[in-house]
Amino acid sequence: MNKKISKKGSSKLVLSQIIYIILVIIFSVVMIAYVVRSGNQSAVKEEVYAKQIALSIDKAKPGTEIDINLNELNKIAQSNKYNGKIINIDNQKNSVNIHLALGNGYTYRFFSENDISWNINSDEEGKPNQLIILIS
Amino acid sequence: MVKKLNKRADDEVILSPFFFLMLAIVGIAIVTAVVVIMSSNSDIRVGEAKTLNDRLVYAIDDNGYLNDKIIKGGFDIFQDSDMNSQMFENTNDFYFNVQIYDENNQLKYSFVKGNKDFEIQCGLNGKKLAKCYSREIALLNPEESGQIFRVKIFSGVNSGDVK
Repeated sequence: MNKKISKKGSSKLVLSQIIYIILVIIFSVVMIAYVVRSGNQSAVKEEVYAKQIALSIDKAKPGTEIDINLNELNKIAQSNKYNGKIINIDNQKNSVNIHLALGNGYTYRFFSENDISWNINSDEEGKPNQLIILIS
Repeated sequence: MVKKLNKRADDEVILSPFFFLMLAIVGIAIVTAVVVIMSSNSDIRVGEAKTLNDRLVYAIDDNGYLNDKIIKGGFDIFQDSDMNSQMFENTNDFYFNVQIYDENNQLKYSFVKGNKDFEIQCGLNGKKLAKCYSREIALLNPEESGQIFRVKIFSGVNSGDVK
């Protein structure tokens, strides 16, 4: 039994398979990077934190103290080289604003009429690491 | 027996337009899945509608009795539930409807505020439509022992993004 396989043909086959594998690897890397980045994007975190804080305020009864760790937000703000105010809770407008990069940040409203006083504690390096909200 | 292998055909199978179409379909599926998961994770409207409903119950329910200010007068639903009335009057993001029936199924008291369109929107399916929560509770009459009021509380919330 004779098989005729030209050297030129087989090298072409190997080349096309290598290109195929490279394309699949590039595609996989791009997709994995996209999924990982989507989870860590500052826009997503701004939205999640603003909504969580607003919902916590709405759910809280007078006398409640809410403590929120800000380390994750700090890291994102630092990676974006943003040094401004990360959080603002506006009692007049009934809104929470989270700001992790240049721009307007993300603002979400709440409907609670309770008095809200809030304070940000900083670590030894002066970086804000804890948000304390008091509902009265 | 001589067998000629068609290498060009193999090349075409591996790097054919079908291969790129397949990559595009998989890519679009992943991007769509990520967008859907991310948006659903941060959608708190159902939680807000339930919280709004809880606050209304908190205002109406006085340890199992109907708040007697509703019967005697002087009841302010916003003041008694610690809610900001401006958010219901100046935005289209909130709605509630509280209906209080007596034992004869007669509507005795009603409190409605906000975007009434939510009554319809909540019966429909759609991502951008309002999310709602409703419940029915029974409360005792503080004026007449043994008499029960049936209270229907419906609350709805839509996007609270502040642009």
